[in-house]
Amino acid sequence: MNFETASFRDPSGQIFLRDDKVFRSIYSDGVEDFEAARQNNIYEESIQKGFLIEHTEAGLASVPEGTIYCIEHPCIPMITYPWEWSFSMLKDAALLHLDMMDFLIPKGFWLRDANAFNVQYHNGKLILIDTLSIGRRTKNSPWVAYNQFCCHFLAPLAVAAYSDIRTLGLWRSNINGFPLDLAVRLLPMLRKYSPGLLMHLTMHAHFQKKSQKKQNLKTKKTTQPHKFNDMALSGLIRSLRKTISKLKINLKSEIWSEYDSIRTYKSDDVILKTDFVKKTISQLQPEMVWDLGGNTGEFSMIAAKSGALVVSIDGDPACTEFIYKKRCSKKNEERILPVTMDLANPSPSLGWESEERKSLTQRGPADLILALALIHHLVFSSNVPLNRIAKWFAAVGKYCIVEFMPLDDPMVRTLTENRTERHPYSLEEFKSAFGTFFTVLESQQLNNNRILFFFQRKN
Amino acid sequence: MKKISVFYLAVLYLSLSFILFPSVNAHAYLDPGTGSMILQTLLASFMIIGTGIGIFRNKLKIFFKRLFNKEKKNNTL
Repeated sequence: MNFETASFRDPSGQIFLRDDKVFRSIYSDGVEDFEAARQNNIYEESIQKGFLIEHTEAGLASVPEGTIYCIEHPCIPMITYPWEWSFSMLKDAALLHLDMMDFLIPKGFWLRDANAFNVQYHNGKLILIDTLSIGRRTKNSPWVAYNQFCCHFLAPLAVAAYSDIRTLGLWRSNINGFPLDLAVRLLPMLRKYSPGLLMHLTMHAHFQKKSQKKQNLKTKKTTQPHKFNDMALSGLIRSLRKTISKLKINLKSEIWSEYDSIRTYKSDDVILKTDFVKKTISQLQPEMVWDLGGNTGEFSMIAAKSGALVVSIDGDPACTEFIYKKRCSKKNEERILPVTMDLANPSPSLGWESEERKSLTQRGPADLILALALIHHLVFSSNVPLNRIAKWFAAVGKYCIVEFMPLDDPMVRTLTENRTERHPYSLEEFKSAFGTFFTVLESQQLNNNRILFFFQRKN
Repeated sequence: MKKISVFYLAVLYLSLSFILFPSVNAHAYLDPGTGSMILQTLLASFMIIGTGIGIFRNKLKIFFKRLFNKEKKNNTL
């Protein structure tokens, strides 16, 4: 039995793993809420509506001490974090919380927290994975998770929409959400005073600062709690929804514009490459594929059509946004999870004891790695030697398809121009570096002298 | 324009309310933040006022529509 390293903040329950299955212990702090929600069919209806992850009640044999109820959840094959999400994915996670609140408020319940880490991509859609987030509403109390909702969703979305999409990366250094005062500073002057953002961000940050000062000076007075009825709470949720719905982003990527031209003059090679990838995937039948440098997800789609869950990783937020909006908005027959990440600086392990949030490598290995037209970027743009690339691929994938592009390839020439010093790069050096960690199972020469290799990791 | 002026009047009201009602009690494992709780209670008042104004405005609209429709009908007769 192992406790999930991210599950320790809420004293009402804890996730643990046993025999590769996922269980949740419910301790005395969470029993009343759990029983009330169960009696009122809240869980059943939330699961039916697609808001909440499924669970079944499990026995109490081999459970942590203090467990009163134990439930089993389906396993989520790939956990991702908000700093890896596209803008629309974070927005949809925010709207999921608000949908859930709209559903719960009339029933006398609410969400006890609004944590972005509680939303994950599961079976082709975003879903709330923390069953114990649902609790009975405290009478006449404002929403306890309002502050967290603004820090985890509204602030990063507003700054990304009105300042710069790259600010979503600030999540990495603020894993408890964006500080509201920082978000307000980053917003353009006029946006700070647009009605929704003025209420929920600018004034919110101001009130936080004021109350902090009052607490520090011990000048706080105790008064009767204000009435905050269902109508007021629904109004608050409506206002948050209106504010978040207005946040939009219009991204343009240079990669997209180049992509068509690349495809046009090498259409034969594209067919050869596609056939090789299709054939290899159909032979291997992987369950989990990581498409490194996934671009607009063309090869991710091929892998996803075989039934695999494909994590399409690209450093360009425009690409992941494109995949999320275009590919994932379809009827989700193909499961593609777009992840924004600079592969030369992948997500590290973060949080308490540096174990709370896992690094990308810790979340592997994938059954298959796709690294198509990627290696030359890592070697020439990020200065990573071939042997280090091969070593990392072996750490994150059991099999991989790698495309080698020779030095005279136009795309490689573009990157090597004006470079006087660079790491060794040739077919022999590539074979030697990958040969240390992998065995070649198959290869395919393309007309443009690029070569596709299908590797198996050495044990 | 009307919307904006109502909004800024409400903001003024909220600011005054902040001085008048300084704290709220709440119990949760999550720190709700005193400032956040106060702001919400003040926003709630604002939303109720906003909703009230909205209802009144709709009623006025319906009243004037009926009035003009009646006049039109009388003219056509």
